Amino acid sequence: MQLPARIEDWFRPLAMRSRFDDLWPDLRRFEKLPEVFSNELMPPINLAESEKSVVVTLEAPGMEESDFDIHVVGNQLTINGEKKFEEKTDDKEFRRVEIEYGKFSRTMTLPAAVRTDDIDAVYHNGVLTIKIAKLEPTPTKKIKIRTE
Amino acid sequence: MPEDSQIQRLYLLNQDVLCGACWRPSVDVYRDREGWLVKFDLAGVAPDEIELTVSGRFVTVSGVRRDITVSEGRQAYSMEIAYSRFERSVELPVDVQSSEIHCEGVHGMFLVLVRPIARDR
Repeated sequence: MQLPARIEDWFRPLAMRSRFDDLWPDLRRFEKLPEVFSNELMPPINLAESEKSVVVTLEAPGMEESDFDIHVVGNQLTINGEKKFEEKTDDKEFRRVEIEYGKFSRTMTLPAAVRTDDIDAVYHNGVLTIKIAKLEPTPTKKIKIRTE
Repeated sequence: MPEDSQIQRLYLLNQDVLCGACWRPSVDVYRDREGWLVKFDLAGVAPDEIELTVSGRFVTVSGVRRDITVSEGRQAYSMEIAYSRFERSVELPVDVQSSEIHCEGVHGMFLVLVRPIARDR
C-alpha cells in the first residue's frame, strides 16, 4: 500500500493504538502483532474446502464490486483491491479514523486443483465470497505391459 | 449498568473487556454541518442483525457475526475472520439520547447518523 506520506502518517498512530487496545483483552490476537507494523492492508481471509469446491471468504467492507481484481493461476488465488478513503469535503471533518484504507493484495495456495472456468464471486454485506469448483480426479489408467 | 456517570463511562468504554470473547469493530467518526456520522466496520453482518443502543453521549452497537458459508462436509483450512459476538461503544460530545438517529448499512459498513436537536448544536 502506498499512500501519500501525509495521509499515511495520519492513519498509522490511530490504527496502532486501536490494535493495542484490542491486544490485551484477547490474547489470541497476539499472533497478529507483526501486522501492526506492516504498511500493507491485510483484510482477513477464511479458506475452506468441501467435497466439490474451495471457498475463500475475504472481509472487506466499504468497497464496490469494481474495486476487486481476482486471478486464479493453477492453484494460486490472488485477490487485489483497494479500499478507498473518503476524501475530506468542505462540510465534513474527521474526528476519529480507525478503519484501515488503501490497496491490498492477498495470494494463497488453494488446497486442491481447481477449475478456472467455474468460479463464482459474490460481494455481500462487505464480504467477498469466492467459490471455485474442484477438478474432478483423473481416473486411474492401468498400463498394460507387453513382452517382446 | 452503573448509574454513576463516571463509572458508566468506564463501563461503556471497556465493555469489550467485560463481555469476554467479544471483538471490537473499528469505527470512524465524522462531524458535518448537521451533526455526527459514526461508521462501524461490520463486514458480514446484516443491518437488521445489529443491535443499536444509545445512552447519554454513547452510541453502542452489538450483535453476533455468523459464518454463512458453514455447511456439512466443509473443512476449514484458515480462519482469520472472527465469528462471534461483537460490541463497541463510542462517546460523542453531544447528548445522543435526545438526538435524531438514522441508521444505514452500506456494503458491510454500518452508518449511524446523529442529528442533535437544535439547542445542542
